[in-house]
Amino acid sequence: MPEMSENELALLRESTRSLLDSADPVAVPGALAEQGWLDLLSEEPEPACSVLFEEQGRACAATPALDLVVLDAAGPVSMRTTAVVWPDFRRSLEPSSRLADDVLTVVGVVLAGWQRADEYLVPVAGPGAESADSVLVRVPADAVTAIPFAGLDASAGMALVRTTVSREAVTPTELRWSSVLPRAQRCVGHELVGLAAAVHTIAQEHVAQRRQFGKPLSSLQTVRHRLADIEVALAAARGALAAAWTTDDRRVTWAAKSLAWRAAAAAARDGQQLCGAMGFTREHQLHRFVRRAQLVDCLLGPGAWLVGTLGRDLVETREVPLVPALA
Amino acid sequence: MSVVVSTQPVSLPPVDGSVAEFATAFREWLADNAAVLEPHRHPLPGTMAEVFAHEQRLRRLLWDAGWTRSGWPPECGGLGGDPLLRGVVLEELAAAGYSIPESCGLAEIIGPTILHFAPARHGELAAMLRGDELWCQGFSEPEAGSDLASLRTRATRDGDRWILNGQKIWTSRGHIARRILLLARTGTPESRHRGLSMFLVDLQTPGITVRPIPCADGREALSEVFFSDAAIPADALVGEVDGGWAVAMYLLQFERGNFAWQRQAWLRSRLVAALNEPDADADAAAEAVGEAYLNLLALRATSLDTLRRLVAGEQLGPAISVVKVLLSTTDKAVLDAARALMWPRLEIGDEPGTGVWRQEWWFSRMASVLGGTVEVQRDIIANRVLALPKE
Repeated sequence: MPEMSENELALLRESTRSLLDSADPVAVPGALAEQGWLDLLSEEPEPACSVLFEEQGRACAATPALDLVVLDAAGPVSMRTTAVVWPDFRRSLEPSSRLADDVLTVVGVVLAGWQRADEYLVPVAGPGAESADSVLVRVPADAVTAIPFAGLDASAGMALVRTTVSREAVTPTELRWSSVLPRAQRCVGHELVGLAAAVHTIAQEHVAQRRQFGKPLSSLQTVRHRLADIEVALAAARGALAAAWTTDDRRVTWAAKSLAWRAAAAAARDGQQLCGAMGFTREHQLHRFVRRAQLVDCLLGPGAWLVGTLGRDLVETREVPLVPALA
Repeated sequence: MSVVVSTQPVSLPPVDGSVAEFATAFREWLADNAAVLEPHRHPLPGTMAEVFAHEQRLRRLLWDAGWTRSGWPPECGGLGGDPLLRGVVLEELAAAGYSIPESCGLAEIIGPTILHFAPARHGELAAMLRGDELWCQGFSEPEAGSDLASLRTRATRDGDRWILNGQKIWTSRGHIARRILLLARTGTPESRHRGLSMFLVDLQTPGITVRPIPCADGREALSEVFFSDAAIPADALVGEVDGGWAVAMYLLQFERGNFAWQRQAWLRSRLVAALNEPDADADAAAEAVGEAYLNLLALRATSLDTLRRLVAGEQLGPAISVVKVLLSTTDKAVLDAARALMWPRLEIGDEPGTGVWRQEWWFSRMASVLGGTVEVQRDIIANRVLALPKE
C-alpha cells in the first residue's frame, strides 16, 4: 500500500478542516462522499479516518460521519439516506438489538441527522455470546421510532431508538459486526484525541494570556506540568491508535480507545481547571468540548470500562500483544 | 585492544537481508539453542557482580554467534547492517522468555555516543559490547542532580594528561564497572553547560575510588566515585574540549530512545511472566493488568517511532522527553500489576523467585528519577515542545 506523504496528509487535513468549517454537520457525510473520501477510505483507511475524526474533534462538530465507515462496508446502501443504529450506551461490545421469535427489537442510538434516513442499518446480536456471530441488517426507517434526547450535550442531535420490528421488514446483509466494530472504535478514539487537542490548545492560550501576581499563569510550574502531561497523554493516544491500525488484535484497539479517552478526560479536567471560572461559563467555548468528549466516550465501550475488559482478557490468555511490530 | 573475532564455525546472521528475515533467523537460533540458554530464562537474584558474571555468559553466546554484533559497524567488532537489528535481538530475546541482560542497557546508550564522538576509541567499544567489560555513566554529583550543568568535578589539563578531582554519585553499577563516561568541568565554575567536557576513563586509574551504595532493592545498584588527582591520558577526551554538553545531550537521546525500546521489551516479558505466576488472582488484578497494558502499548508505539528516527540519523529534539515520561509510568504500572497478580506474595513471600520480583518492583519506583526526573522532562516539554511563555 503506498503511504501518504507528509505533504498529502497536510493537504487532506486542510481540506477536511475547511469542509468541517463550512458545511452543516449533518451534510458532512454527503460532502465527503462527493469529494471522493470513500475511495480514500478503501485505499488508505488509516489516514482517511485519523485525519477526518481528529479534525471533527478539533472542530467539535456533531456530524454523523461515523456512519460512513459502516455504510461503506455494507454494500449497496445509500450513503445519504441510510443511518446506523449504534448500540446504546452500555458496558458491552455486543449489539444491543436482538432478533427473537420473528421479532427484531431495535435498541440503540442514532447520530445527528437521523431524520434524513429512509433506512437504518442495525447491528443485531447473534445467537452466540461472541460478537463474531452478530451481523448487520437493514430496516426501513418508517418502522422505527427515534426519540431525540438532550442530555449533557443537546447539540449532538442524537436520538434513542427502542422499537420492535417484524421479521418480514428486516433485510439481512453479509456484514459482520466484528468486522466494523474495531474501525469504528478507532474513529471514536481519533475524535476524542481531536477534542483533547482542542481543549489543550484553549488552555494553553488562556494561561499564556491571563496574568496574576504580575506574570502569566503559564510561568507557574504546576500549570506548565499539567499542560505537559496532557501532551504526553496525547502522544500516548496517537501512538496507540496508529498501532491499532496495524493489527487485527482487537485488544490493541480497546487500549487505544481507552488511551484516547484518558487524553480527553485529562484535558477536560485540567484544561477546565486552568481556565478558572471562565471555563465554567457558557460564554467560553470550553464547555462544548467537555460535553462532546464525555458523550462520544459512551459509544462502543466507554474507555474506563475497556481497561478492565482488556485486563481480564490478558489474564485469561496469559499473553500480551506484540504490537506494533518492529520488523 | 584488538577485536576478537568469533571463531565459532557457524554461519553469521543475515545482516544484509530484511529485518523480518533476521528476526526469523534469530528465533530459529533461540529455539535450536534452548538447552544452552536455559539458565538465562529467569532473572537471577544475587549481587550486582554475580548477576553481571551470569549475564556475561549469555552476552558471550550471543556475541560469538554474531547476534549482538549485528547492527554495529565493523570498527567496534560488529557485522554491520541496519542498527534496527539491535532492537530486534533484544525484543526477540525477551519475547522468547529470556532475560535481557541489564548490562545491555548501557551498550545501547554509551555505544552510539562513542561511535559518534570518539573514532579513536571504537576498538575498545568491542570489549563493552561483547560483555567483557561493564561501563558506566558519570554525570550526577552530590550538588548536581537535576541541575546537571552546575557540576563541579574538575578536569585540568597538565601537559599530555588531564588531572581529575571531584566526586560523582548515583552511578549505576559503578563499583563493578571498568570504565566511566565522565562529564567534568574544564571551564570556569560559572561556565555552566559551556565549560564541560566528556572523558572515557579507566576506573583502575590510581586516584579513583568507588564506593557502592546499598539500595532499597537489596542490591548495590548505585555507587559513588571519588577522583583525587587522578591522571588520565589526553586522548581520554570524547568530543571537543568544552563540548561535553553536546555529547551528553546526544547520549540522552539514546537513553530515552534505544533504552526505552529495550525496557518496554523487558517490561512486556515481565507482565507475561506475572500473568503466568501460579495462583494469579485474575479478577482482582484485571484493572491493574489493563492499566499496565495501556502504558506498555503507548511506550512501545512511541519508542518504536523514536528508535526508527534514531536509526535514520534524525536529531530527536525535546519530544523525546515524552517517551521518558511514558517509560517512568510504564515501569511502575507493570510492576504494580505484578504485585496485584501475586498479591500478597510480594509483601510476605520468602520463596525463591519472590525476591527478584521485589527487587524489580523497587527498581520501577526509581524509573521516574533515573536518567532525568519526570519533573525535568515535564519542564522540557513545557519549555521546548509547548513553548509556554514564562513572563
